[in-house]
Amino acid sequence: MKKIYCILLITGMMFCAHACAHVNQPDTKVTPVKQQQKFAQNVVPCEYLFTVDETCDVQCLYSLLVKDYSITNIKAIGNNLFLVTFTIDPGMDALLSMYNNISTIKAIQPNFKYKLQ
Amino acid sequence: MKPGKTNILFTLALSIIITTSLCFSHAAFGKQKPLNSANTMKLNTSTVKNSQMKGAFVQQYVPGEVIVKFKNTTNLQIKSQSIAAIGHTMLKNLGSTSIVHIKLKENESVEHAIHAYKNNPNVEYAQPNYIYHIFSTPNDSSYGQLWGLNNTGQTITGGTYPNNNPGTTGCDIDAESAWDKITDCSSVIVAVIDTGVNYNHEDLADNMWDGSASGYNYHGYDFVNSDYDPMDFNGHGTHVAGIIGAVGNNGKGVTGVCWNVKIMAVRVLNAVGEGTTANIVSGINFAVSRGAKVINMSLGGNLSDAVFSNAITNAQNNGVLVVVAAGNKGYNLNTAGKDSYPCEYTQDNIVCVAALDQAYALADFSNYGATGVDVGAPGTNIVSGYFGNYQAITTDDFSSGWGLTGWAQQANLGGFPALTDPTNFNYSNEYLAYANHKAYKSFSLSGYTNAILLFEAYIDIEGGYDFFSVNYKIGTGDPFVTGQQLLRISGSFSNPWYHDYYPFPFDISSYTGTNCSIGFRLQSDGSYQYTGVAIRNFAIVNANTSVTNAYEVMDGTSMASPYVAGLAAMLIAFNPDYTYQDVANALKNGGETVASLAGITTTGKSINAWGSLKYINTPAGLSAQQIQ
Repeated sequence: MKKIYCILLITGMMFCAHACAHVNQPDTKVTPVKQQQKFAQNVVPCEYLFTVDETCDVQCLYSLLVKDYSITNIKAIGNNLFLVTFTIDPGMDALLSMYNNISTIKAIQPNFKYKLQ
Repeated sequence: MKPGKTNILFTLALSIIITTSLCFSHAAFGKQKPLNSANTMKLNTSTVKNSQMKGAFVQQYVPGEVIVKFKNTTNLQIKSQSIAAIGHTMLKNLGSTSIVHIKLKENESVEHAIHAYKNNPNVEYAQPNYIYHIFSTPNDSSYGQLWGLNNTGQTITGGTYPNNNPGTTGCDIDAESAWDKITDCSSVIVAVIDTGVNYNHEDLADNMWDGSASGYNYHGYDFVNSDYDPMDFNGHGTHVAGIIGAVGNNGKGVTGVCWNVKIMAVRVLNAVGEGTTANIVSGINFAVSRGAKVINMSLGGNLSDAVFSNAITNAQNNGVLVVVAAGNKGYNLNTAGKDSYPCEYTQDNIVCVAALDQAYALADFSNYGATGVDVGAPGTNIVSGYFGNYQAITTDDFSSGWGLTGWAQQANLGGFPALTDPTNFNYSNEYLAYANHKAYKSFSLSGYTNAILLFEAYIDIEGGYDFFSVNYKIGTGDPFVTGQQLLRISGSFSNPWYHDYYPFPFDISSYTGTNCSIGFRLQSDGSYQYTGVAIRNFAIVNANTSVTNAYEVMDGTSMASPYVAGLAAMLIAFNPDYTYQDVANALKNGGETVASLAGITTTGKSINAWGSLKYINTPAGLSAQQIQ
C-alpha cells in the first residue's frame, strides 16, 4: 500500500500529457523548447477558461465560439466563468487573436493542471 | 507615575510583545503558563471584542472571586476601604501585600467586579482567580506518535523522512497548552479542497460537515466526477482532514488540532492527485458559498493563474482564510523561474506554509521564500487517517493476451517480466526507424467504481521526433484507433547505464464497470533511434474505501498546511468575531521564532497554538509614553 502511495506522490513530478478526449495528439516534428514543454505539461489540452460579461450565458458564449471552432462542451463554473472544451486544440494564440476584440469576452486562459503537494 | 489609559495600554503593549523561545523551552517548564495577556486584557475591554471576553471567561475561573493588584504605594487602609466600599471581602494577601485575593458580593459577576476595580486609581490590575489543571491530553491510541502536537522526542514508527527521527522535545505547535483552553472548533467549517475525504473513517465521521441544515444532505462535492460524493480514492485528502480535525479523545487513532470541527470535503484532485483550474475554482466557490471560514489547499502548480487567483479574492471578499502548502521542490520561491501557486499569490487572506521536521529544521523538500512563504509547521513523518487501502484488480506479466506489433514480452529483464520495444531490448539495442508499434490488452473492470493504472517505464527515445504513448478505451481492441490518450511523451528520461524506471499512475475510473483496453505505442521517424522503452510492474488497482480504520505516515508541505488550517479554525472558534485578518495576524504573530525559518519566510516563525490563542491584535494607533 505504501509503495503504491509513493508512486502516486512521485507522479507529481512526472510529465503526463492529455490530449483532447477521444482524439490523439498529432505528431509535431518540432524539437521541444524547455519553456514550451513546461507550459504544455501544465495545461489540459483543448480546455480553456473564458471569463465573460455578466450578461453572457452558455448559449451566448456558444454562439460566439462555434462559428470558428468545433466545441465538445461548455460548462458554467460560476462568477461569469466557463470551461470550454474544443475538439481540436486551437491554442492560446489563436483564441486571443480571434476574440481579443470581442468585448463580451473579458479573459481567456488555459485550464491549468495542479497536483497534490 | 499617574494612572491612566495610556499607561494601561503601555502595559498591554508590553504584555503582547512576542516572546521567542527554543523548541524545548515550554517543555522544560512543564508548559504551565499563566494567562499574561488575558490578565491585562480584562482592564482594557475597549481594545478587545465582546466575544474575546466571553471566550476568555468561559469556565476558566473561580466564580465569586477576583485577584487585585494594588499599586505598591497604596497602604493597607486604602486597600481595605477600596475593597469594603464595593461590598467585597479580603480573603488574604498572596505573599505580597499589594496582591489581594478578594471575595465578591453574592451573585456579583467576576466581569462586573473587574470593571469596578478598573476605575479605582489605586489598582494596577484585576483579574479572575483562574483555575489551573493538568493539560488536556487526549486518549487516542496513536497520540504518542503525533510529534507535531506534542514532541517528546519520540521516534515515529514507520517514518518515511529519515532526518531527525527522533527529533527535539518541544518542537511542536504547543497544542496541549491550547487544548487547555479550547478543543471544540465545531462552530467552524473547514473546507479540505483536495482528493476528497473518506467521510466514513472512524476518526473523521463524527467531524464531517453536512449541509443538512440548509437542505444539502452531503459532506461536500466531487468536482472531478461532478456528483455529490466526495469520497477519497487517493488518501491525501483524508490524511489532511485528519490533521485538521480527526476526532479527539475518542480512544481511536489520532487527534486533529481541533478535536471537534466541521470538515467539508471538496474533491478537486483525482485518484492520482491531479486536478485543474476549473475544478479547484469550482471547489473554492462551493466552499465559500456553503459557509466555510477556512479553506485548506495542499495543492499547487508552477504557473500563475488569474482565474485561480480571482477565486481566492472571492474567498477574501467573503471573509474566508485560505491556507496553502508552499510546495515540495525545495525551491527558494524568490528565485526567478522557481514558482509555486497559490502560495505566491499576494492576497492577505492567504497563509502559505513550509514544512518543518521533528527538530524544526526546514524539511529538505520544502519550498521557502522571504516574501511568499509565511510560517512553518510540522510536515515530516506525520501520522494521520488514510482513505483505506489498495487492492489489486489485476497484475500482468505480459505473457498472454496482448496484441503485439513491434513489442515483445521478456520473461526476465533484470529480474522482472517486461514488455519492450525493441523486441530484443537490452539497454543497448535500438528500436526501428519509422515504427508505429503497439501493444494492447483488454482488462475487466466490472464491479469496480474506481481504478488506477500503474506501471514503471524505462524511456529512452529521440526527443521531439519519436513518441511514447499510452491510450485506453472502453471494451476491447486497439485503443489507438478510438481510445483516449493518457500519456504522450518524447525524449530520453532514462539512462541506459543506470536502467532508470519511472512510476506512472493514471486514474482510469471513468472506464470502470466494463472492459477497458489499455495500450502502449512507440512511434519513430527516420532519424536517430535510441534504446527504446521497457514496461514492468504493470497493475490495475482499486482504492478500497470500505476500510475505515487506516492510518499512514506521510511527508509534505501538504501535511504542514492543515496544522495551520486547524489552528485557524481553533482561533475562530475561540474568537467568533475574528476576521480573516485577525486570524492571519494571530497565526503569524503568535508563532515561535525558529532559526531555520529566519530570512526565508515572511515571519521566521513556526505556528504555535498557545501563542496564537493568547495573541491580541495591537490596538490601532497605540502609542506609549511615560506619564510623570
